[in-house]
Amino acid sequence: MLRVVSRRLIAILPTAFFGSVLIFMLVQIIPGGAAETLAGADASPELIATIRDQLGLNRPLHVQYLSWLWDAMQGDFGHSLLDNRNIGEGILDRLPVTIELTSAALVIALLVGVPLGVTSAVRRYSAVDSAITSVSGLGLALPEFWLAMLAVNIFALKLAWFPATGINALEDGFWPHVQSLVMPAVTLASGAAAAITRFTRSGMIDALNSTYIRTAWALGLPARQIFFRFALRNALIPVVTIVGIVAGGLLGGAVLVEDVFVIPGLGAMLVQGVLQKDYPSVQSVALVLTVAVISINLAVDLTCAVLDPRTRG
Amino acid sequence: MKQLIGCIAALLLSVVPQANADSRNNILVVGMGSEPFTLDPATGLSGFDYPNLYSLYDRLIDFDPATMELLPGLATKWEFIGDDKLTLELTIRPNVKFQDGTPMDAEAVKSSLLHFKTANRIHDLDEVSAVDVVGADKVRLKLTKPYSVMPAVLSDRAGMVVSPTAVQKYGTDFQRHPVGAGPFMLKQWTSGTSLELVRFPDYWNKARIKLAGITYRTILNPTSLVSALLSGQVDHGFNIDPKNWPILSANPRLRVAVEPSTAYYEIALHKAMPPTDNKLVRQALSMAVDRGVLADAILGPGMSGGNALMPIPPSWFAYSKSLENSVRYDPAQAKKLLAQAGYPDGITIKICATPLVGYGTDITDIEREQMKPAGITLDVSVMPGSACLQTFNGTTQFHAWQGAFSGRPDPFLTYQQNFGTSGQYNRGGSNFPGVDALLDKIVATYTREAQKPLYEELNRLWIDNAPFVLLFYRPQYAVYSRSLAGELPNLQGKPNLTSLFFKP
Repeated sequence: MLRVVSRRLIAILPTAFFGSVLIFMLVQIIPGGAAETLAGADASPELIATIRDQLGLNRPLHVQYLSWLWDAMQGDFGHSLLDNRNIGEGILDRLPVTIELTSAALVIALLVGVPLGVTSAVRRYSAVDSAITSVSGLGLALPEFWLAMLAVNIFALKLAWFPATGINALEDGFWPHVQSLVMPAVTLASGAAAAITRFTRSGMIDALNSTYIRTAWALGLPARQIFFRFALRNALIPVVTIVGIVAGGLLGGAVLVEDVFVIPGLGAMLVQGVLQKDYPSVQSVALVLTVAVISINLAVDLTCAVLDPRTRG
Repeated sequence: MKQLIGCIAALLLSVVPQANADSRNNILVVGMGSEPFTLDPATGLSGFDYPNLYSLYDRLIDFDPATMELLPGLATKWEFIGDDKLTLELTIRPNVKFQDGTPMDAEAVKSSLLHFKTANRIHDLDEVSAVDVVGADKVRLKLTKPYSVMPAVLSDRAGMVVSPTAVQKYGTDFQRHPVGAGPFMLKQWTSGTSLELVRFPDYWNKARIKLAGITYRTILNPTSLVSALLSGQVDHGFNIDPKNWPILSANPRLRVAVEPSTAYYEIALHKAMPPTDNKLVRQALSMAVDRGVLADAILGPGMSGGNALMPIPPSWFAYSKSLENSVRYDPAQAKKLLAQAGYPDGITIKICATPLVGYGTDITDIEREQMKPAGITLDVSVMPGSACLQTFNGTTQFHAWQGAFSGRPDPFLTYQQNFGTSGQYNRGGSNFPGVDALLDKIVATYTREAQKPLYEELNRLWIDNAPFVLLFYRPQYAVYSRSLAGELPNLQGKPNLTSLFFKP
């Protein structure tokens, strides 16, 4: 198992490296630079040149990249160009909200997706199966930000069940906090739930068509035992794999959902940084999100290796 | 099961926040479409920060919101002294304290003015050569030239008096720990979420203030801001996209208001690049836009503040009503002017626009079609945010920039900055014949009555030289909860919300 862990760890290094290069370079080619942002709209070329010098932007790109990466690896993300705040502290302030939102969405997606997928597979080709397949198709097709706006219109503005924007602080009460989390989490979970439904269904159908299940039926075992003890356990292995991809997607989706619901998480920080050209913030948040996605996928790989010895290679 | 669902629903409904003043303890919640980066008046540049700044800081000189006539503020009196009028003497209001307990006296005012000047971000005090304290309540500003506009400058950022103790204590971090002598003081500032202010109990003019506090919530997404208004999560919002007017007007809990503003839309032109260095070309461009149609399309029918040919709104004293119809949409005449200028086959104008809805490419899309019959091809490049403005300012990549101007507290500043040879927005630094001399005359004239004919002449020169293609005025679109009253919209269009209160 130790060999599996070390092999996976070595395998993610190139991914992390290329991710960091991509993040660094993409921000470099956006029109208007960090020095121009700091200097303001009416700055003279001399002032911009001075600031470029102060920020070390005149150094060769590879030197800038290595210096940025080295600092980031030590937890030093620098300071925001806009308000000079420590970016690392800003990320730490916002990280819990994003983790809570995406975790809640993942739990909802699993709680909805797995039972629906199982039902769909067990009653395949029935009206229930068609309904679940159609709804999950919609879930995959509808963009989260659009669904978010629709949800606000119906559940906040028309029915007044939930607040339209913001997350109530936990200190203000548990229920108000949960209430404000419901709409963003459910919206964010919609696509993930649909994907998990589809994967569970297909995994279950494969399992139900296998010879060991036919044998179980022939032995006269109870249906509940066949579905849940034998079929589902095997059907869930590809679902665990998809959870890694889905969790990465949730982090990406959170960027837009946080914007619509005015949630002060990492996604909102990224959007704000992009709109206001706060390059160090954009680079730092993108790097943290990339590392998070890579880590989730690593965790999923290792879980799969534990669940299914065949994948250990 | 049904009982369980019922219980959960009842529990959820029981904690839906009630949008009224009682539940918020007389705290006004304002939805802000932007967030300040700094609350030091000397280092911020954004016009959107003013509601925050007005809450925290009182200014040396105040103004009448409707007319912008100057009124006493932290200075009870001001006068230019000496025959040359090169000294402005301020009499400082006694017994005023900053929010940290520091006395707001002549020494504090001097320190604040020097803090503004040495920050070197905004050049409003460039004409001040020295600041002297000549008594416990007297401060004198030495000026480098006759500068009648200085009192108006002191009604803006430069006149927001900051606590010298706090500036000393926090250094550059003062921008995150603002301390002024205004009616509200900082309670908490959470980046990206909210700025919470509470009433300053020792405010010198406390009878004026009825709110217990103001919370400015950051809601960058315009659609979310509208949702927050409609659901009652916020009591007030401004700079609202007027396309949302029908839905906001229909909400019985809300009151919508179109308030005055000095802001206008414009196409800024580079005056040192051919062909926009040519006056005839600029006149042709001005004639090649149908301002009324453009305004109706961008802001909604009847929502604009009128067509703009001068850089100040019709309600200001410097406006010349006699000139307001002197340029009309006439592509045929524009084409003739281009031929006269040596461009019989037409011209291509490279313009930069942002993708921001209501400010950028949606405007240039219409302009492009309107200009075609005049033989003008608008070559639009799209860049995000202020990158566009910076590229226009710093390079010769573009002839034009699609944008807007928020206006200044005195018309002189608007004209000087846009039309004067040394004006920071006079791209290309064009020296328009007669303009600098006229500006010098205006700034050495001390009453509005005497300035008015000079502005009439300046407006003629503006329209003739067409340094910018002005488009239409943008009023301030504000939305209030019906439980609110007491707003004092000002002509500058930068809301001061400190007078608001919840109706009993």
